[in-house]
Amino acid sequence: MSALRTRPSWLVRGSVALYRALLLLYPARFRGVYGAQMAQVFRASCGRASREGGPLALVRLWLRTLGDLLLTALAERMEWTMTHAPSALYRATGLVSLVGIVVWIVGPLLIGLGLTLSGSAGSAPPLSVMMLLPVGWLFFVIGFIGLYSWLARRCGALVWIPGAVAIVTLLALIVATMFWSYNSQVGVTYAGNTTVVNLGQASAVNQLWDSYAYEVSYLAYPVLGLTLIATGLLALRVPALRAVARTLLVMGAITALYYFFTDMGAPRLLRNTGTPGEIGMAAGALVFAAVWLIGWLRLGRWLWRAGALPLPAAPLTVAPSLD
Amino acid sequence: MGDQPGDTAASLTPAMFQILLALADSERHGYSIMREVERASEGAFLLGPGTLYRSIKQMLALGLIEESDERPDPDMDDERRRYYRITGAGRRAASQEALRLARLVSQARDRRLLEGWNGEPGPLPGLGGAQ
Repeated sequence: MSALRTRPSWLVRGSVALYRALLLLYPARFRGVYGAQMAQVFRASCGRASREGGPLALVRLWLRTLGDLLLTALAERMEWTMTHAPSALYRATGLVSLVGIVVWIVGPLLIGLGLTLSGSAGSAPPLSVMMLLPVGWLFFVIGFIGLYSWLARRCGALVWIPGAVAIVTLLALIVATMFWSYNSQVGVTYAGNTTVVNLGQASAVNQLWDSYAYEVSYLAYPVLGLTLIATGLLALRVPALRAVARTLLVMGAITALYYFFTDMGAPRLLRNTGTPGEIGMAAGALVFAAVWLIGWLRLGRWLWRAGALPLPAAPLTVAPSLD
Repeated sequence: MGDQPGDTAASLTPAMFQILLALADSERHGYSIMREVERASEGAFLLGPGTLYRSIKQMLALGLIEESDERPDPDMDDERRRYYRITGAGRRAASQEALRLARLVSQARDRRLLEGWNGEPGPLPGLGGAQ
């Protein structure tokens, strides 16, 4: 008889100990305030289930409690992430976007410069340079998520509309760039010898997909530019965000007009004039790259500083200054 | 927020409403709330500790309930237990929600969906318990 009494007691003690351990799934702040009470309630429920229904009732209680615990812990974690964690996340995204600058712009420039100086520059860029472009865009996607998360806290959720379009556009650009890169000629260096390889012929990529990718990349720049302009206009309404808004507007304008700088605009008039045309297109691309470089340096630094600030209880009160 | 019971009532979850009902007539601690909800719903609504305290957290933030310092009988009670009581805003929000549900019931009655129901809990006559 005493064995019958001690067995549920051991089960109850074990259950409560396990439940206490599982409480670690909740954010520390929630656990600190309610953890002891939750364990107390669970202990009382266990005692009752064990008394009235024995081990089977305890199993039923566990099944019900586990579902409850997992769902509410997930909900609390998500809520906590939305309200507290961004401080650290913003810092991380700011840093990632700065790395994106290096990967996307500075990296290819440095490699190209190195190849030119060493006299080993071939007729096609090395594979590493081609792959730096989509990787750089991927870093920008992460940066954009951080940027729009922070802006949403200051400008309202409306900013997520251009934010979502921008992020989808960037992802499309990554895929398009990869297809495009895949169908490009690259220089593959092996054992000191550089061979030009046409990746499109080497792979089974369909020419149709290649043309789609090309069109996507043509569409992506104006769309991305317009989303940045829309974001800038939304941010402009908040006095503390004017510096950020100006940066976004300039980046948006240059991105929307990307092809006028490189392919279709004034440089096009010079395109068929040999060297001057090449210089014009290169100058356009450099202007574009410089604006993005400076813009992302400012935004990345802003995100990095934003992460160091305590999150205000109410929106539109604190924002890091760029000046 | 608590000054606008209509708005608060709109954000009430079923668990919150059940907790407000449990606290409508007396102050209770967590386990007591859980038991009262189970008793009042005849076992149809079972609150887990996670849902209970997540709801309590949200209701404290909304000003629908507050923590009580008083204990029914300090000698008989575990001092670590925390008691909660309904606030004026909580009572108004619960009333609004009850009114909303009453209107729905009224509409259901008008559409002859409650024929044969005598007001007692349990399945409708003719529908059985397998619904």
